[in-house]
Amino acid sequence: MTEKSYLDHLAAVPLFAACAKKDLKLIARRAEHVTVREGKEVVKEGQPGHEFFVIAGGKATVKRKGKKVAALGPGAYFGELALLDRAPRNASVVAGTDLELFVLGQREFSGLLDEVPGLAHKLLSGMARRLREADARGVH
Amino acid sequence: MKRSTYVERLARVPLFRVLAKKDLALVARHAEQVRIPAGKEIVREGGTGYEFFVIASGRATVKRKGRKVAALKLGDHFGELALLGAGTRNASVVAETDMDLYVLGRRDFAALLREVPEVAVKLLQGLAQRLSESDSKPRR
Repeated sequence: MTEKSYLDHLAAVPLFAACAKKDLKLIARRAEHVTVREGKEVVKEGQPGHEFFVIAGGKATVKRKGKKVAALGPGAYFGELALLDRAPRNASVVAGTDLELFVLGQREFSGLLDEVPGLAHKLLSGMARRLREADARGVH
Repeated sequence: MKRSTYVERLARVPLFRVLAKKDLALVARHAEQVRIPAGKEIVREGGTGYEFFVIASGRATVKRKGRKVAALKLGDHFGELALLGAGTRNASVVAETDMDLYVLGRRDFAALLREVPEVAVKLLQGLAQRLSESDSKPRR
């Protein structure tokens, strides 16, 4: 991918939508772009997690104890929980089609949270929504 | 309260412990300190949320649909979900004892997240932990 189309791809991700161009470049420098085959388990429930993923293209399924709990498409992200609380992955994610992913390692992810404040805020909003949904399902 | 004492007390709050002195001064500028009598309902489930709270002293109970779901003490914080998401409180918080609280309004909270990424990251870690715990509980 050329640098320009790489940046365009990143800018199209809602999580990065508020990022300035210099922030996008920083993310582009830190992130790796990988292709994953359909059917592959990208993260495995119960395993330690060291990466954060953003879907650039394709679809994935989130499973917990073998049961589908969510579907992810382009622009969605996953893997942040294990990086933030250092607990094992709380779900598996399986590629439903061939997937194009931006991947950030633990260190790159932490660095970006410090250097791109809008990013932490976006993640916080996403997580707040999930937590409210979980609470509303009557878990407690 | 004298300004130096105020900043020293803020420095002991876990959420703010990682902060540099200049950032603590910034929090002190944004936050208001209020006293709450025992028994008072500080936030009400289903109501609209405009503030984020950090406990400077005392204890509180978190209730959802009238049922106690958590206990809060010195250094704990609450109210961030409504500020990060739809704006509706997803639980009530009642003062068990007289309490001292640091209060940040919606705009000050957003400014704090923007200006002090460490606070956003700490909040992210807290939400990640709650989300992991909530996901690992059996559904009803």
